[in-house]
Amino acid sequence: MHARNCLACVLPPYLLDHLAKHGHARLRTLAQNSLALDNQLRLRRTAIGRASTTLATARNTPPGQISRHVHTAESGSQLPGRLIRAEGQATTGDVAADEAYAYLGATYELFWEVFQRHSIDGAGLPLIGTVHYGQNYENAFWNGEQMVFGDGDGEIFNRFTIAIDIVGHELAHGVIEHETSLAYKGQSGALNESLADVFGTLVKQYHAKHSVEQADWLIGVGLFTDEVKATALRSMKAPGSAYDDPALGKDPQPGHMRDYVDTTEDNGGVHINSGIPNRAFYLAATAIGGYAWEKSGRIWYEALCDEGLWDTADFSQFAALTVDVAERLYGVGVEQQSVRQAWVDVGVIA
Amino acid sequence: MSTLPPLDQATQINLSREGGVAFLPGQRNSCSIALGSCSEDERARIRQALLSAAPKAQAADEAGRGDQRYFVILINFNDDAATEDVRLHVGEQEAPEELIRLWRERTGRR
Ligand SMILES: [Zn+2]
Repeated sequence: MHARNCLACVLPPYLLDHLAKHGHARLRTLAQNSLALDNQLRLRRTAIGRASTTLATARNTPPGQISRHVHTAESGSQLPGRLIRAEGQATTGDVAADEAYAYLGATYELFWEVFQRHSIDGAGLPLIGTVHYGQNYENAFWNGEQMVFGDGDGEIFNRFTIAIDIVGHELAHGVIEHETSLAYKGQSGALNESLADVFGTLVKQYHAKHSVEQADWLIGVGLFTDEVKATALRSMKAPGSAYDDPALGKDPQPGHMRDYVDTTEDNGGVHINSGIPNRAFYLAATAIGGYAWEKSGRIWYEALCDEGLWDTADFSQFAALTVDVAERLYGVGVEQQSVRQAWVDVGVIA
Repeated sequence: MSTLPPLDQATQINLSREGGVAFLPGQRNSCSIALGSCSEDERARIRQALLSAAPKAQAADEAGRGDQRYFVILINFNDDAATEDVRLHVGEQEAPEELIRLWRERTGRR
């Protein structure tokens, strides 16, 4: 056996687990032995993990009280980086830091004032953000503990804090993760992404006090520079219409099940097929009318928190859940019918 | 005792970077490395990058969670190896320096 070059010596636990269940008999033995060792390590890690969670809980705030901590990575990749604006402190003059602070605030407001949810975990978890991550970094993400925003390259992308709904989207990933562990692939992954867009756009609409008619239903307006032909990252109203440019390609989002994209890229199209449930939300919200956060937002939020939302939920299971929730909240009426019709119109239910 | 094939039996590596808050078809990027056409030094560096990346690999439906970017490494083996291709997903934040350097050299991307 080539000890130095042997992949099996360095393979991660999940692959060993897979081999232990599905591999050849002799491979299985090897994998099982490695797993036994790894489980001991894992137990130790869990103990360490608990200790740090306890620390985080100690800093939680009373209901209704927000706690923001905006850091700068100073173009590096160490997280969270250097704290530049803590809760209650004055503006810094750093545009990205002040945007992050303001939009984390707007996101907290939506969840607290509309859904009575006290931060990401419902128990006042401090909101940790880092700006100026990496060099010309073209992304924003939630890493399981905090939100991270790049500055963009300035040629295609502007800074990622420029769009309130992107900040809302990333924080919503934290909320979604606390409520469900929707597998990040295929339809359940696309639901995960769609929910982040739904709450991201609700943050934007609630902040602007826009009705369903006034809202633009676009995700990430301002993110692209004038150099590219793009209005936004995604359109919930008309998926597939957000951009068409040589550097970006054409927006690949479908708005109907007949155009569902089967792919291995993008975790099985999680940011692609999210167009379908996104459009369902748009259709339901506009049919119900008024402010989207009042009824359709409430229905989607209750569905997210419902115990009936499984890790492996597909579009039709989520659709059925939203119809049930609409009936539970508002009876059999225009709300329930609008939600049902929206899912019919995007081809998810018959 | 049988084991997974040694990397000496790998013929080709495909490296791509995926994930992020949106899927932009025009921004796809990947590279292919035919190990047979690499010098012994290059092969050693590539092997080192793979060996340091492999322990960091995540399950396919864990990588990318919350819009995080990740590398997908596909390793093809020759017929003697009697194995299927190996596909590894390595989160950008966990990716070892050797892998990032290889990525930058081969694709010219940051
Ligand atoms: Zn996302």
